[in-house]
Amino acid sequence: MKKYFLISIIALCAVFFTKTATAQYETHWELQWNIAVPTGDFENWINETSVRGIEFGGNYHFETGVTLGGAVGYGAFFKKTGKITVDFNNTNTVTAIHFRDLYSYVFLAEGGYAYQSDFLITPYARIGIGAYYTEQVTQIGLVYWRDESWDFGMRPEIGALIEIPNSGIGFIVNAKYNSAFGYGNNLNNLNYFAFGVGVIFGF
Amino acid sequence: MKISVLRILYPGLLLAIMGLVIVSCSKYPTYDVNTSDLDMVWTNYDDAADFAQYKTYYVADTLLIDSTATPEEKAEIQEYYESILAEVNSNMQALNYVRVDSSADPDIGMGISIVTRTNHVISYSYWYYYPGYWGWPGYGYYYPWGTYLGSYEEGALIIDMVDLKNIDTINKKINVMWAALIGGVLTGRGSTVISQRLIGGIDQAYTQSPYLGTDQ
Repeated sequence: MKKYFLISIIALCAVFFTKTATAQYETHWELQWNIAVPTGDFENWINETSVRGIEFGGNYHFETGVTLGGAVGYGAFFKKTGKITVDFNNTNTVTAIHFRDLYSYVFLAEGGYAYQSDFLITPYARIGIGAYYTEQVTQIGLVYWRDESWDFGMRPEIGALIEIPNSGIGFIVNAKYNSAFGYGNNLNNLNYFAFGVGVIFGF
Repeated sequence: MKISVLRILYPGLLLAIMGLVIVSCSKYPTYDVNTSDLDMVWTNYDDAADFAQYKTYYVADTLLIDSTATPEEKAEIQEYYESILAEVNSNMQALNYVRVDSSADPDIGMGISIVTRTNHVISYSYWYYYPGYWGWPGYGYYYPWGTYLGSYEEGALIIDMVDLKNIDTINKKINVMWAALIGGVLTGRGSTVISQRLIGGIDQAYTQSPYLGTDQ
């Protein structure tokens, strides 16, 4: 039953989104909301999903399906721990609640491939390369400190563009994996997944 | 029918996404912060000290309050004094240290201070009075691990434990063996809960310092 239901949904979507003509893409712009999930050492520090992510970007679509563009984005991660005891510098011990905030700013040049078919859905894959600016704030009790860092980073991404017929706008959904290489500040890495949903316009 | 649904659906989705994007621009944290969430217990010690070699301690009968406090604040802080001293004594005696008078040549001198308002917990004038309490007026106060403990903005209780067995009479210095900062305990006023937080902080300072203690 479940199988037939899924097939029906897919069939309906296929009919609904079937194009009458092949799109002629040029430049389109994207505005997205991102949900992000820390991984690795970053997850050990903040193990909570972020719903504070935004991104703006643009991509030029060549007739071959190759795309070139860029994106700037922002994501905020927050964590309030329970009361924990930490030893540091050999003889110091602190017991307190930790407030951990991390703000990640992304500046990427992107290249990829978009599969153009007769459907209104255009799946794509991209890779972004560029700079990650990170602001990390740690507060223990009323004492806090702030670290900043610029790092080289990379971001593979897969997703789909969904065009609204005859409107010049549409929607985008995607999944991305952000890696800021060489990030320090008490973390061995800064990696996180981001799942985006947004609007596209300009085609 | 299809067109009318789309006319509602697309603008709705568009508005929803735009709304999420705008809301997500905020840097304000998603968690709540209560007054007690800012409590902190910080301890440090001289790792060259053998705490088992010390048997007796002296603690003054009066609480030192830094000079920036108003008379009202001093009166308020003074209310905590009995519970603070009782809790310190309770923890020291649980570690088998014996409280004696200053005339009985104690091994350890203890100082208890309250810092109100914004202060860096380093080399403030009120430290100056400690050596006099322990019978060593004119002596300096020396942290072997460096003076910096941190800064606190809204009130802190500080407990110091100094070495009166090995006083540097040449340089007139008294070595601090252990220090505890219990921060945030004065951030909310006028509640008995604060006293419980203060007492809990004192206990935590001793709990997280397992190197303290002696055999009588």
